Amino acid sequence: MDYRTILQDRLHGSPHYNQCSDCHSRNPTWCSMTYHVFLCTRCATLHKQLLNKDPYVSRIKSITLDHWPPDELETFCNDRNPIVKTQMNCTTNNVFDLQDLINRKYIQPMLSNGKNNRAGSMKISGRRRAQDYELSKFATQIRQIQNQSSTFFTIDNIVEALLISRGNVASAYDLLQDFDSYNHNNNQANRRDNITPPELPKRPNNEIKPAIFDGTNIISSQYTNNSSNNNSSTSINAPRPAIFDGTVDLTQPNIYQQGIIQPAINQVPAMMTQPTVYQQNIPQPLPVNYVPNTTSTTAQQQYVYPSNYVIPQYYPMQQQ
Amino acid sequence: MGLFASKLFSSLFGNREMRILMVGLDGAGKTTVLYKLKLGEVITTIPTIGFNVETVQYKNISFTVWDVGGQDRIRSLWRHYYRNTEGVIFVVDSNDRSRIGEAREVMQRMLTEDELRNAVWLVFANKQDLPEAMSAAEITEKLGLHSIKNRPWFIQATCATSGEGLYEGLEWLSNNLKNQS
Repeated sequence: MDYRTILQDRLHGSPHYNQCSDCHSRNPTWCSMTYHVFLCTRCATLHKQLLNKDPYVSRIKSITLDHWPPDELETFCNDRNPIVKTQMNCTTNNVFDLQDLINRKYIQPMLSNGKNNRAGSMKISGRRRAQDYELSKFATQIRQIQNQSSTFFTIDNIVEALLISRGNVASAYDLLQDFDSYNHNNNQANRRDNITPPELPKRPNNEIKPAIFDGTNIISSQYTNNSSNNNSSTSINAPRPAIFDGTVDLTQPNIYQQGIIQPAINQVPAMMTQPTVYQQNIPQPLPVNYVPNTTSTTAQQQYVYPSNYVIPQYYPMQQQ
Repeated sequence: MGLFASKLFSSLFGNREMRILMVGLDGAGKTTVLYKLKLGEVITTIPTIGFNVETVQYKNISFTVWDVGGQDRIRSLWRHYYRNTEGVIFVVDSNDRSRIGEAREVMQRMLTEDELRNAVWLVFANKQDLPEAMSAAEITEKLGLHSIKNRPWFIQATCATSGEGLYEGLEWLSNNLKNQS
């Protein structure tokens, strides 16, 4: 099979999905032969810049412009666990962020765990229970770690770290320290002692009025006792008493007598004077006869007013 | 006599031009060398697809330096730049021991080209600042430079990021241009 086909299958396949491993842009055209990942042109340039010192050196290669011998193709395509986006999720476009990302993604795992060891990118979950045979298998290493560490680690965590680092005491210790500091930071971040909760929304503090209706009381306080309260609008809006004994004259209610609403007697509103009514006097429409315009060359028909036509006028109607 | 005098005058004081082709494997540092010569600073380069061309003035010679991409599949395009080339700069990554054999093959194939038979040959052993870098003598041996009999050649240890050795290479080129004419 052609190497292009194999590379295209690899590129569009499972861990890569046609994306740059560092910045997730589409259609990468370069790749790193050391880390077995696909890269866009900019990230390949960053690899060339940043990853050029000995243990971290990343040899970039073009998919289209370079020669691919079969052995290189095989090693590239058979890596089942390349460092792709799943480990460091980053969707940034800033070059400085990408430099930082590349530093964290490729350099720091090696620093923490020695040369060419992918275990550095792994972390202790802290939830794994150690098996009996593992305790006996790593007995000496566990004792070493317990002796040299100042902080306390559980046996389960130590065994998990030793499993990840394949029995290497130093890197297991680093993993444990990372785990400890990570947990410490998380506890710091999660501590909520000093944080006061936000205040709940409050109801408006209105006094609740009693839902008692005693008609006489209201009359005495609001209608009859109006001499102290000159503000008449409140008493108008107030409900009228629902008391009806036959003596009350409905045509002239009490409130008029109490002087709450002064009926306007002296001043006559403008409406009460005789209105000026304007009426349109339209004469009967007269029959229109049209005269063919013989003099005009265009021979258009012209409408002509008849001689007895009166142009309608508007004048005031005579007062009755 | 007058012709001789004018030739002498122009060779001493006149400004002369020299067409240089700069080639090498990908990632050897050709573009960095070119812009270090032109601008005096190290720029961030991206892999060259196509070519860069700059005019570099050194003493009374203006070098027109063509820097072409070194990827495997675009090396076949180099031959379009061969005509009228008076000097070839072959840039080698001294730190890359795994590909020095490939560099040797590419260079030996170029040496047999008919259009380059008059070109002088300068090799830049680049990236000398890296700790594992091969020395110029080692690269001379691995590239088989001693087998070149028909033309002047020279190897110069350089470091493109600091600029060491670049002007020494240009100095050698200018001297050999003078000798030929």
